[in-house]
Amino acid sequence: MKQIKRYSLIAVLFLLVSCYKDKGNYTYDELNKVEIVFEGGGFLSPRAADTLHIEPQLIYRGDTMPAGELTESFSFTWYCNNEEISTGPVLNYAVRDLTGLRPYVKLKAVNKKDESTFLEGFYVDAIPAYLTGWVVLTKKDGRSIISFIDPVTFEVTADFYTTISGEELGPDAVEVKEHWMASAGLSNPGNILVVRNDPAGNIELDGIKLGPLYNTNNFFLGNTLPTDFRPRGEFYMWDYSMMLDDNGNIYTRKHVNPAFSQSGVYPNKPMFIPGGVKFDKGWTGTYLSGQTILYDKTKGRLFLGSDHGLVLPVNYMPGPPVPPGTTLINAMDKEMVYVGRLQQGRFTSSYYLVFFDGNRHFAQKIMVMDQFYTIQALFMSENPLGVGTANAESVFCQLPRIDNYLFYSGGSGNKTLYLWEHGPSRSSEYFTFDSPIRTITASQNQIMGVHTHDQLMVGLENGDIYILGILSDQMADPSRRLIKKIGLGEGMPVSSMYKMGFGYTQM
Amino acid sequence: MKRLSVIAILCCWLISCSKDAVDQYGEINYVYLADDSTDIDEVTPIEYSFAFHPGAEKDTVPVLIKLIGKPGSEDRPVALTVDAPNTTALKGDYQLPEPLVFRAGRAFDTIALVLHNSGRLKTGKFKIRLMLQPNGHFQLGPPDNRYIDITFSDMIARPGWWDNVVETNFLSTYSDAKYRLFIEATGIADMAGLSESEQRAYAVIFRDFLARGRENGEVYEDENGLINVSPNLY
Repeated sequence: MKQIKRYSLIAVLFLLVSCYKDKGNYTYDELNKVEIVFEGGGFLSPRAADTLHIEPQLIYRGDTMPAGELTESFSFTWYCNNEEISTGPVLNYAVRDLTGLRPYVKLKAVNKKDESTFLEGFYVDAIPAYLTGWVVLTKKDGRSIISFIDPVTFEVTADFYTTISGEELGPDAVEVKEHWMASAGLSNPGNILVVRNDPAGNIELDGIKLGPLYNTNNFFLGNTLPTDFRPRGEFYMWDYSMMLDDNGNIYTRKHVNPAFSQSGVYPNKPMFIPGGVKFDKGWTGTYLSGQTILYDKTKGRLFLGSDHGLVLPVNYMPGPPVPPGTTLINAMDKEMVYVGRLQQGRFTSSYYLVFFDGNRHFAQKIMVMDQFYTIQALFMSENPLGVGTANAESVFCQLPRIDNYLFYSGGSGNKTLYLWEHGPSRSSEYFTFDSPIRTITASQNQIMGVHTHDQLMVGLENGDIYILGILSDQMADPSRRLIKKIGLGEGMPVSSMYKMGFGYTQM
Repeated sequence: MKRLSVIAILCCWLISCSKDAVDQYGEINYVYLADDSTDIDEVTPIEYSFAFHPGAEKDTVPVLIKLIGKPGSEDRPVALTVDAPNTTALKGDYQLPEPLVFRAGRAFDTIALVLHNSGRLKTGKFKIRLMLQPNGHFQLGPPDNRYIDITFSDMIARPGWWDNVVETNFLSTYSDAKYRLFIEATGIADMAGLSESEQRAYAVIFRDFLARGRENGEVYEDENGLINVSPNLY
């Protein structure tokens, strides 16, 4: 009984203690919250060769001030993926020194008075050094040489294939072109395909590092090449690709996984085309169209390689007859020397076909409609092109995204660049060089949110490269056209391209 | 009497311990038939069809013989004969090389059996049993490896790889005539183990073979009508 009383007393004491109230008599300092603001926002896309220069703003006590003016009140530490990379209010750091695939750079600002800490950061999606830029294929002393030209600094990485791979391309490279994957591969950069007109086969280069990835000779059935095989062209169309060889034969394969740049095997026997048709040349349609234009020079016929693996003749669609004197695409009386694609839709896309009769050039515009088992062309127009200026040596460059403009070389010695405007059928001298023009290529960039063409690269026989502006103000004022002259000195240009980067830029 | 019976039973037991096997080799050499140069014991019958070799009037089937013993310093005759009671082929259907020798310096050798094609082979299968015989140079190896059956024909049958997937996506309905044309067009008879991409490529070669032939006036028909590939093949 005595025990019970004693325990009860202790319990009552605990109960009474629990009733004690904390009156809360504290003194607080006012905490001034700091917000860190980066000018570029939470995602930065510098070029890989750039140096980041980040000067954050701090919103502190109602004012927005550069961090550099608050060094007495705050200490600053910068981190990349949680590793300290710098101290101080301003970050100057080489992009290529950032670690990780998609570095997260973070600034920690600590109030020296009360140790209050504030954090803010941003992701860096660095644009690889070779993602976009000019690529030129030249020939010199029996060598094929590929060089890369930075589109901003115009810094030249000459003969990069040999430097990177330690191998020679050989004497027979004839074309460089960019090709993209489909489906999930659209977010990958396009790779560079080097077409080599010899039994060694085509080479595909990595779109980021420019190193060799594949030899397309390894993608024939049973690793056995067709008889007497030398590539003349290779064309990629969504789920399918086609190979054209020196004998005019076509080989078609379906990609096992279109997201891979190389998948599926080509049959090692030529595709059957009725009537013994052989193809002289092919032109890649736009990525979106999934079309390839093939030219049977012997019979003067136009064919379409489709992205369902078929090769079919193109005929004018039934309707009003084409005007008398028109060059018929199914019975050409002139040589087709160029096909300029226009970036339009899928299954239906337009082209400018340039014909040459040995004296004059003609540009015919057609829209090609792929109806699976038949291919029809809607005739739009045909006009003489560059009369008195274009010649047998002329090279052409139709702007895919600006229907009206086609550039071509001509004039005395083929040294003058002309602008042809399809609308008014008007030719005007654009720039004159001191050496014959061999290649013309247009860039593609996003300007004010629109994919368009702002520059032209002209390759001259003497090895010089010119970058010209083709925006409206530069067209209007000849003195503003020359952007850069580059003494490449790697021989005569035979093919060139503008590397446009990610696949989705072609949508 | 009882003791005698026990002795007799014991003798029988002892006799049963004598194994019909190859003695350890020394001066005696043994030969036996085998499937390949690395496999020791296996010898399985050979099946051959001229259907997989379009246009062949005759073909050679290698018969592998292996040696237990020391490789000889010179060619030695080997006795390989046709076991007539177990052979259904006619003498004109095949040809063994003469002389039959096991070449010097070899641990295994092949005998080139030549098979001749004929109209008879399109409707029936024929068998040759080749049997090794002992001679002054060689004794016989393991009993199971002393003979080999070679069955041959010019007949064809639907292979296992021509399944519903291949039928639907690439080659369409099977027929013997189509299979023969496929072999002629592609040069292969077996698509087992090939990737879908490779199967597609062979089917495209076959499709183009038919189209090219038709353009030249060939008629390709079977019991199902015109021979074609699957309409799903692109």
